[in-house]
Amino acid sequence: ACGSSSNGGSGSSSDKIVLKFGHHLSENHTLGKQATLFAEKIAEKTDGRITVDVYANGQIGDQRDLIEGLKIGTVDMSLGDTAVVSNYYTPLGILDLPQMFDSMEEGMEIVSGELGDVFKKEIEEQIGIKTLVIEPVGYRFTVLGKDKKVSSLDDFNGLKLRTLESPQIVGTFKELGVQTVALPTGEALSAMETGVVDGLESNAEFLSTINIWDLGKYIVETNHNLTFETINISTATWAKLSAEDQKLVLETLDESVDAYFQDSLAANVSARELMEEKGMETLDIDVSRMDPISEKVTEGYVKDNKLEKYHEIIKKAKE
Amino acid sequence: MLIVLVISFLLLITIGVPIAFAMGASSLFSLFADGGLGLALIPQRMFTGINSFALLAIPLFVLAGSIMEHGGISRRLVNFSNALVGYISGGLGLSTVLTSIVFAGVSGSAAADTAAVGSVMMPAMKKKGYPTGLAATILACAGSLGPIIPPSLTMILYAVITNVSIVGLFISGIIPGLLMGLGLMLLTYYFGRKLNLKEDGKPSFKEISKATVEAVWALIMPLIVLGGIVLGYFTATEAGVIAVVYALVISMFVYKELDMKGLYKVFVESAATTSMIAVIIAGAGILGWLVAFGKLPLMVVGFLTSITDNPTLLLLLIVVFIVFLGMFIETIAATIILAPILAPLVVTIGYDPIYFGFVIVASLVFAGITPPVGAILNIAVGIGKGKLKETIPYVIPYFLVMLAVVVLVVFVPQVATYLPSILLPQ
Amino acid sequence: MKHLAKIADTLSVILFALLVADVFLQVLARLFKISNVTWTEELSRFLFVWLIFIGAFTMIRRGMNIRFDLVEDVLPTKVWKITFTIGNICSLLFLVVIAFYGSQLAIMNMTQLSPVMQIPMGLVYAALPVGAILMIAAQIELYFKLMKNRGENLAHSSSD
Ligand code: NA
Ligand code: NA
Repeated sequence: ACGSSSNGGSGSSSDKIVLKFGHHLSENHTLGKQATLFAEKIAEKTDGRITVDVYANGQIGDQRDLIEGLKIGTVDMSLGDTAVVSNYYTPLGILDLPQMFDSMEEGMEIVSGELGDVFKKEIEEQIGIKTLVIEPVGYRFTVLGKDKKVSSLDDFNGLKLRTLESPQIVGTFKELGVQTVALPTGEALSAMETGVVDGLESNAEFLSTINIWDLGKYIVETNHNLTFETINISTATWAKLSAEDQKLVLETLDESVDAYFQDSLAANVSARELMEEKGMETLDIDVSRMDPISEKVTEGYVKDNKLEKYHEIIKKAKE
Repeated sequence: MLIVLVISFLLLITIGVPIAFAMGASSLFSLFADGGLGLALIPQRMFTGINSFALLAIPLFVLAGSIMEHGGISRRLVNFSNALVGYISGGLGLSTVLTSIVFAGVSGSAAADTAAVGSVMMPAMKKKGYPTGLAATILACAGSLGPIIPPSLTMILYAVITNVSIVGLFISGIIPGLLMGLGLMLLTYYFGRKLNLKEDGKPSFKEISKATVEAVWALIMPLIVLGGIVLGYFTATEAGVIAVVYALVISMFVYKELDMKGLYKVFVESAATTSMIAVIIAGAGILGWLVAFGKLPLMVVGFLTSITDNPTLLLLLIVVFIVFLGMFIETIAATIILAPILAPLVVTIGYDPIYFGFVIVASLVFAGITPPVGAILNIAVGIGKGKLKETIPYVIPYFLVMLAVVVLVVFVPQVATYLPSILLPQ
Repeated sequence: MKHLAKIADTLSVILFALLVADVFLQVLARLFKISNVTWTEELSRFLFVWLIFIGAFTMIRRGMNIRFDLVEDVLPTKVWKITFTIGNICSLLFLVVIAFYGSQLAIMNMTQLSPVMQIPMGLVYAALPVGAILMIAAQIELYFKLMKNRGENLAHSSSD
């Protein structure tokens, strides 16, 4: 779908290039803003020679469809959570393990280094799409309903929580004795309202966009996962770009990552503040039991999926 | 690209190509015309269109309806309704509506309601001399209460696409649904008098109690299904399986009217009905993608908001827009295509998303009964072995009665919002 | 065709029964807190996809595929034969595209595993080409049946 307005498509610098960029978030999400910023900047830099058409809100597909779209040529660029991309390329799943990174800053630094390079190279080899950016989104924590106050992590035993269908997250909650339930978001909210589930886990920015305070009351800082995002481009589209244009796209994306990261750090804080303002309460409980659980889940996951090589890179980078 | 899409789609449905195939073939032609997009888009979008947990409500509610139809539950509900209202002018029509209302409390799909109630009521009405067109129109409109009175497949879909509360949406539908039912009954009474559709004598109290006692297992079904959703035993989608299991147990072990051979047929028939609805959804998956890709949604929203910024007028415009579009597409297809376009408008105009959702869902339901493309009316006509054109004298007044309730909700939101406001925790 | 119908019907009954059992198990497992049954949601979607494409065979054969018949019905048979043929060619073209590109998609997704059950997604996608081929067979049969007898009642075209 790399819509070239001229017939030849010879790649000369006067050719107009239109890139279709699809994602699953709203335009107001920090990642949505990043996509829009990228589109604006690149149009500005090229005087409109390269335009990026952003399709937000899953209008032209959810994350899985978009990855497939990159391969079959219906989309040029897309966002993809690591939880989704790792269904195609397993090693990426290591980023989703509990307590893998101590902070968003540390996560950003490590994926910007050797680890990121290895991932990007292997994703291209194994999935056949080109990942241009890997960046952290935010920590996931637990929200419980109005009459579900807990006084320690032990009270999680027997709770029913809606979780992402990721083996890392499901595995972590299993260790806490939680019964995990897979439901689409729309259904998850009603399920919480009626008591089908006692709560759910997600990140602050998303939770505030769905007005979680209408249904949830208590926050537990399980911080069991730092979510990462990828920005991808179809290899066919990439190959059609001239070397200068490729460079330009990468440069502009880098600038958008810097802006995004500051924005995202602030958004995570303000979303949390908003949740408190709306009457939600962060429970002050000891979460140190997460440490041995994280270790156990990480060890198992790394071993089962033979990810020692990547784990070593992370450990080395952390030193 | 959009022009090729729209024109070829309209041409194909006009010459009688099945809606699902017309959606697919016109998408194919528009892809040929565009050239830039690969044809793999077609199977991909079809797959994505149907790979959704919320859609499981279709096979489950269709199956539940079919078991009720073949296992004696429908018949007892009909007997019960007949005992209550059957003796009045147009009585069989009235009991069609009444049965459909009770049925709607269990079933989520207009197709299932129409088929289940119609299998018993249609032959009865025809025997009494009801014009097939009238009988089919009553049946289709009454069956369309299925997705307005909870549980509701259309509401589940809308809620899942737009992230609003399913339960809130469900409860919004109760009062407007009952009002529509009442309106349909009044109109049926009018036609009953006009066409002199005389009924048998008034049943004795004893006969009424007997019919009620026999129907009691069927009558508590809505309580179990709705109660279970509201009390949190299962989700709205899962409610379908509860309805199936309950209907199975009652039909096979209490009424003993369904054996394994009958069950096999019920499964085959329900699978075919499920496919009938789902291929249209799959087709809408492609068409909807191309429509979004062509940025039509932005144009529509821009156009609507450019006409007026008065929220009530805007909502009314949206109702008109949906009802118009509903002439050419099916309810569920229309929901999939329109919900992502219209839901963001709520933010712009400041409506409560649940209320807004209800108005949209109620308007979308018309897509199933408005000719030329109206699956529910087609099903009703099919059960009566008639032709679509026979419904023409009747379909407009019935349609207007239901539309009047939607317009009422636009001007008096409390009709929909009152029940959720007292039933749901704030 | 009769044998094919028998197989398709039996398959759809099995898929449907499994689907009901699966969703019922999901509710029971949660209500009675039976360990983590995490695969039911994913499995139900996959069964549903297969059910639709297998069920479509019988759906078409019974003439249930929803269409708008007001204009079609008033066409003189001579004209109708032409429009009906054109319509069928368009439908078949669409089905052939699903069969061909659906197979490609299935093959492409054979290495991609589903998030929970870890089964190849290609096996789920395979419902598309398999269903499309069944639908092509049913549609061609329907075409010749109706060309011979325009008003034929199809309601009982089933395996029995
Ligand atoms: Na209903
Ligand atoms: Na319609």
